[in-house]
This record gives sequence, structure tokens and C-alpha cells, in this order.
Amino acid sequence: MNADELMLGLQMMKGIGNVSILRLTQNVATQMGIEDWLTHPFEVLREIWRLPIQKVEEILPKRESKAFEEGRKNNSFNQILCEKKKMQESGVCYLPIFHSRYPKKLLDITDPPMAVFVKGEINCLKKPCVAVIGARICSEYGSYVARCYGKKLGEAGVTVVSGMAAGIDGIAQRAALQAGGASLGVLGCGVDVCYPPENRELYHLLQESGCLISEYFPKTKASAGHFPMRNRIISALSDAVIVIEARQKSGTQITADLALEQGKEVYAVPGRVTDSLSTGCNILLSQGAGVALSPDRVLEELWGNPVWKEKETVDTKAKEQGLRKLILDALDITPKSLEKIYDEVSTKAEAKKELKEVAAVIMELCMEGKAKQNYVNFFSLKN
Amino acid sequence: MYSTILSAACHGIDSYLVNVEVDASTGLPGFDMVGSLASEVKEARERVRVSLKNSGIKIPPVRVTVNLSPANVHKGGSGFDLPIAIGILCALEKIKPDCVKDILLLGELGLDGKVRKVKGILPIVMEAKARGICKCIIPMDNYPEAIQVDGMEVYGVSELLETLEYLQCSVKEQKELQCKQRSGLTKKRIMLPKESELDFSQLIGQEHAKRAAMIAAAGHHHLLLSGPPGSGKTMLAKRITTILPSLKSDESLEVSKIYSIAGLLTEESPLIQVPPFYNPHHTISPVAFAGGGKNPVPGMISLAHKGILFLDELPEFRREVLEILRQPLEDRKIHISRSSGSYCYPASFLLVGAMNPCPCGYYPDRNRCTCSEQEVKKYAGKISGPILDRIDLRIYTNRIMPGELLQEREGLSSSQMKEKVIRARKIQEMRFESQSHYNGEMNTDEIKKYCVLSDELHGLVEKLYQSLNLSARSYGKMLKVARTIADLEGEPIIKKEHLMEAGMYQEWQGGI
Repeated sequence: MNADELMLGLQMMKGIGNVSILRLTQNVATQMGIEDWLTHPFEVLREIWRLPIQKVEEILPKRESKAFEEGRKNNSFNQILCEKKKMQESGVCYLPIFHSRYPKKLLDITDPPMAVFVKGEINCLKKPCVAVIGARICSEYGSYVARCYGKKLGEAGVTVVSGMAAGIDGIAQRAALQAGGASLGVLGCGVDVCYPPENRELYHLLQESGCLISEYFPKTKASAGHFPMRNRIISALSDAVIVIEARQKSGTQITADLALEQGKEVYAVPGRVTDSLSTGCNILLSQGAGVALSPDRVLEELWGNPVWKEKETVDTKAKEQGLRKLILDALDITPKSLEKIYDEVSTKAEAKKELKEVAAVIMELCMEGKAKQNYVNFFSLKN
Repeated sequence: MYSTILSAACHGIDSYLVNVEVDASTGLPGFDMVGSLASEVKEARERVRVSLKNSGIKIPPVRVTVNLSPANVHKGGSGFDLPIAIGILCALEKIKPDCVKDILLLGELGLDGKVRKVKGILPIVMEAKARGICKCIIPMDNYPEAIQVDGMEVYGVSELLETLEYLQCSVKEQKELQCKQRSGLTKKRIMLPKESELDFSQLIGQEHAKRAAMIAAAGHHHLLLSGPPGSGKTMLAKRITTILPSLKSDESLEVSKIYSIAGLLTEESPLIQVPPFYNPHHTISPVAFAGGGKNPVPGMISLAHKGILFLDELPEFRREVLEILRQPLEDRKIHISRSSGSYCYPASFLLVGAMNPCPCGYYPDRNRCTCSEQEVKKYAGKISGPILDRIDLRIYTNRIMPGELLQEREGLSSSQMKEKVIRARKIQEMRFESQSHYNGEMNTDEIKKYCVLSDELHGLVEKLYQSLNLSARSYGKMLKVARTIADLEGEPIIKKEHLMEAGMYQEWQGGI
């Protein structure tokens, strides 16, 4: 029995959580005269397993001490080994708090997880890490910006940390991986569970070329209570947090608040004041968050990266003429209906244009990859 | 004595002649009816007996036996009362057998001796004419629809005694009576269908949706409108009838036949001349939708024959109701098999569906819509693939801002659009050498034959495919729509812009 297994056994006890384990370890360590229990985990943990019940009751409240007693009886040595073997077989790595590969950044927060479960290559945490977070239900603008940040950060060699959720999180992580960068997904369920299921493809990508991390045991199902806890890990693992799009009072807001508490840099992407999905970001900005003008600027502000140079704007519109130019001018990142584009074009055009002409040209632009059809007859500029 | 009277009954949309054989003989007095009868036909016994009595005709106590032949076909409907009554009188030698020879009789009797209207007169009279019968006596209420069939001597009666009087007249007198009746009605009849108050110019903005509606009407392409609440989907759909060409005479008769069987023809409109418009509520039952029932009647989809079937809030319809559409959309008719027999009703309608893009209705406007992508997909998924397969055009209607409502804007009016539609339909008539075959109904071979693309366009289609992430099934649909757009423009061959526009109406398969 080594320290890892003893810790695993403690965590396997039903009704014993982070707080109880922390209490036990600290109390026992003081009694043993050890200043920092993390330096001598084995001794402390062995002592805890041997602790007489009266002592446990002194340290833990009644319910927890009962749970501890039950757990000590039920979780035999064999069961612990069996659990360990299962994890090894499914490629899950168990890293307790005193483990050499346990992310050191997590130790800075007030309530670090006692252990994390990891799938994939955790070394990507050694690189600079930036969290890109935002709403699950996002606008076209949000997904555009998320893609843009994910790609740029990935190219710059920064690890994109996020929650692998639908919407902004997933889009940014996918873009980072596609750009050849690294990404780390912090899950609110077991690392062998794919949630949300529609992100299955990203889940596999992260396993192969990124990393998945969770404080929950494998096979744990996602539940609403897990996500705020997960958010503290996202912000703790990152050097800075970029909020792409968030409504007022959202999970993203919680993460941003946690990041501020943890003393991380928070950036927010400004949006139109009329967009409810940008309200959260704009509020953050008014409270003094950094303005995320562009990925390059954010990188420069964070690390003074020489990457930053004035971007030569390649104006794709410059070469265009006539109706094509008018249409490209009318198009925007937010989707517009054909009707609206037609209206804008016809007010600017010298000769009268017909709706069918405009439609044909837009489709041509879509085909050339300059525009994008978002919905049946909604179009936007493509990045 | 024994007598035979000619009558008829409906089976599905078609009808068949029935011989009403009556025998009156001595024996224990009684009234028996045989010949595979439905309960309403069996009840004729009481109606006939009382009706004869109340008309002042005395029936001696004899044994009456009635047989409706062919005896192996199940007969329903209330139209046999009058022929049975006349048959009895004939068997009792109160009418000469020659008087009723080759005359088709039909009508329901009331206890007071009145003759009441029956369903399905039009198809019956048409069938009689086809069988070489040229004289018929029918209820007065059904008179306007019966005279729609040319070359048939029709006499409408409202009382049993009136029928007797007519039958006992000489041929010359009968002719006079007929002429008198007809001249009395023609005056009433020349009422043209009311000019519709609906017009496309009442629609503000929505020019692209109007164009899609025009393409749908021109090429008989089924149309699916999606859009937020209050964006004019229903308004648009209701106005599509105003740009459809009015029915041709054979089409009109065919549609009227269905209405006759359903008992929906009125004195004011004995013939359906404008394409019908039906919008069933989404709680409709499968039987009401497809037709059927104990006494089979045409369903909504058949009533919308040659017209528009508008299904508002498409995803809210019950799944089994929507799945009924599969066969009619393919074969343009519906087969209904019940224990009483199998029936076939025509159902060649233009399907116009309307739906919200998501449960809250505002997707893709993310300021208002809080539905997840999952929810949006689930909502759209309520309409099964095979149904979507058969819908050629998809369009999104925009929400109109209050400011736009006040703006003066000129838009196409119904008459302008109808003109274009008629022109495009003429081109199609020449192409298919048929009166009722349109671009939207082309099969794979016809697509190959009539939607020829140049080599350059072939490359373009492939590109369009990839960039729009179109599905394989969209290919044929896109070509068909492109063909109709070209027809609307009067172009003999499909050009690039036609194809591009057609591509826009396709079901779009995008992700986030």
C-alpha cells in the first residue's frame, strides 16, 4: 500500500469529501508534529487509516465520522486495488494532491481538489495557459470570435483551457486543436464520460492531442452541481481568462468572478450593448476587466510576446467591384437575411437591382468561401 | 309483379350502377330487403313505407321483396329510398314499366314524402352518362350540380308525388318540364366565383418569400416556410391561391366530384372553379386527414386536390398524421383499405408548410432565442426525412419591424405574379405534352432529360454542393427548382444564376 492507494481509498469512502479529508490530514499532521503534510503523505495517511474511532469523532462531525468508519470497513485493500486497476485499464491517470505531476497551480486556491483524474497528456499545462470561456448558447458573433481566439492562441503555443461545453468552450478548443495547438478540457463529470454528447468528436480529439481533467471519479455523470466546482479549476489552471460572450448571471460570470478571486487576469470581448449575450462581457469591462481587442494584443499584454505586430489587414473587399462589392459591404459577422441585404444593396446601388440577382451573387460568394449561409436564407461574412 | 329501377351508389371517388329489383306478391304481408346493405339502406324500409302512406298512396297488404344488385357489393348511402318507392309502385302496377325504363333515380325520402339531397350526385351522373344513360331524376337540392354534366336530361324533384306525376307524363310533356326547370335555374347559376380580397401586394416586404411562393406555384413545388411568430407565414400561404391559374374544366369536374361525395357542393357553387385552399388545425386526426371512416369520405388531403394544403405549425401535427403524406406526395392519390373495401381518392395538392425554427420561435436571433442547438435540431426533427425529401423549397420569413409596416413600399401584386406563373405553366405544358404535369413532379429520368446542364455548370453544381454542405437528395430538388426558375424567366436552358438561386432554397445542413 502506497500513499496514492491510501488516498484513493479515502476518496472512495461514501460521504467523505474534500473538506473531511483536508481536516483529517491537517489534524493528524499537527498531532504528529509534521508542518506540511504534503511532504510526508504516506505517514499521515497511514495514521489516518489507523486512527481509533474516538479520535475520528473528535475531528469530524458525527455524520462524517460514521461514514468514515463505514468506509474503512467496506473498502478493503482488494477493492482499492481493483479500482486502481480499472482506471489503469481505461487509461485514466490518478493524481493525488501530493503527486509530483499534480498541477501545482491548483495548490494556490483555497479549496484544491484532493486528487484529479487525467486522460491525455498533462504536460500541456506547463505551457502558458489561457482559459477561453463563454455561453453554451452563443451567437454567430460569439462563435466567430471564439474560433478566432482559439486559432490564434493555438498557433502562438498557448494552451487553451476550457470546459468542453457546447457553444463557445467547444468552438475555441476545437479551433486551437485544429491550429495545431494544445487544449485542456476540464470536465464536470468523469473523464471517461463525454458530456455534452454532441461534442464526442472534440472529446476524442482532446484525448489524443490534448488533455482531459476532472476531480470526479470515472463514470460519474454530469450534474448541475458539478459545474461551478469545475469552473474554479478552469480559472485556477489558467494564467488568464478570456470571456467571449456571456449573459448576465451565467456560469461564465461565475468563472470570471472566481478568476478575479484567484487573482487571475480577466479579459472580456466587448459586444454591442443591445445584445443580451454580450451583457455579461460589458459588465465585466465596466468593472475593470481587460479589453480583449484581439488575440495578439491579449498575448502581448500578458507576456509581452514578440508575436505581436500590426496585422496587415488583407482587404478582401478591395479587389471586388460592382454588385459583389456592394453585397460584401452589406454582409456582416452577424447573420442578415437576404431581404435585409437586398434592401441595403438597393439603397446604395446606382441602377435598380433585382432580388434574384442579389441572391445569385450571394450564393456565388458562399461558394467561393467569402460568405456563409447560417440558416435557410441568412448570410454572414466568413472568417 | 316484378320491376327493376336503375340507381347508383358511390365507391370511393367512383360510382357504379345498381339495379333496384322489387317484387310484390301475395303471401304474408311484409317488407324484406336484401343485397349486402348498410344499416342506413336497411332503414329505407321504414322511410319508404311511411313516406308512401303520407303521400296518400295506399299500399295493399302484399309481400314486398327488394333486392339491390349486384348483391355482392356492400352498399351505403341514403339515395335508394326514391328508387325503392318507385319500384314498389311499379311492381304494384301503379306506374307502367316503360315509364321508368332507362331512367336513373336517386334520392332520400322524408316521412312527409319530401325528397332530400344526397351525397355524390356528380360522380353518379357522370358514371351514368358514361354508361349510356341519358335521363335521371334526382333531388331538387342536387339539381345545380347534376346539370354540370353535359348531355344528360336531368329532372329535379322535391316530393315523391312530383316524381310520380313526371313519370306519368308523355315524353313531350317531360321535355317541357325539364326546360322550365332549367331556365329557372340558369339565372341563379351565373354567379361567378367571388373575386378574392386577398392580394400579395398586401404583404409588406417579404419579397424573397413571395418569389419562393411564385416558384412553388409555377412548378408545383412543395414549400416550407419557417420563421418567427408574426412574420407573415400564414398571410403568405393564404395568398398563394391568388396566383394559381383557375382550374381547367376537366380538373374542375374532378375536384367537384370529390366535393360532391363529401356533400360540400352548395347551390351557390355547384362547381369548384378556383383551386381549393385547406388549412386543417394541427389537432386533426389521421382519418380526417387521409379520408376513411365507416362510410368512407374523402379526407382533407383529397379536398385540397388541385389546390393548396396549408399545414400551419407543421411540427405540432401528430407524427402519424404527417407520415400519411408520404404516399400522396409521391403518387398524388391515396389508397384507403378498410374492412368494407378499398378506396382510392385523388390527392394532388401543393403542400405549403409553416413552422417556427425552434420551440421559442426566434432562432437564429440569439437576442431573443435561448434554445440550445440541440433543441433547435430536435424541433426540426419532428418532421421526418421522407417528408422533407419531397419539399423542394425552403424559405425563412423575417420578422417585420413596426417601422417597416408604415413604410410605403411597392411590391409585386398577385395579378403580376399570376401572369408569370401562367406563362411558366404554359412552357411546362408544352414540355411534358400534358395538362397536369409540372416540374415539381419530374422523376429522375425526366430530370436528366429536361434539366440539361453545360459542362461548366456541372462543375459549379459540385462546388455548390461542397460549399453549402448539401445532401445528396438535394441534387434533384435543386435541378427541378432551377428548371422552374428558368421557365419563369422564359429561358430555354438553365443558367448559372438560376442554379445559384435554386441552391439557396435547399435544405441547408449546417452546424455551429
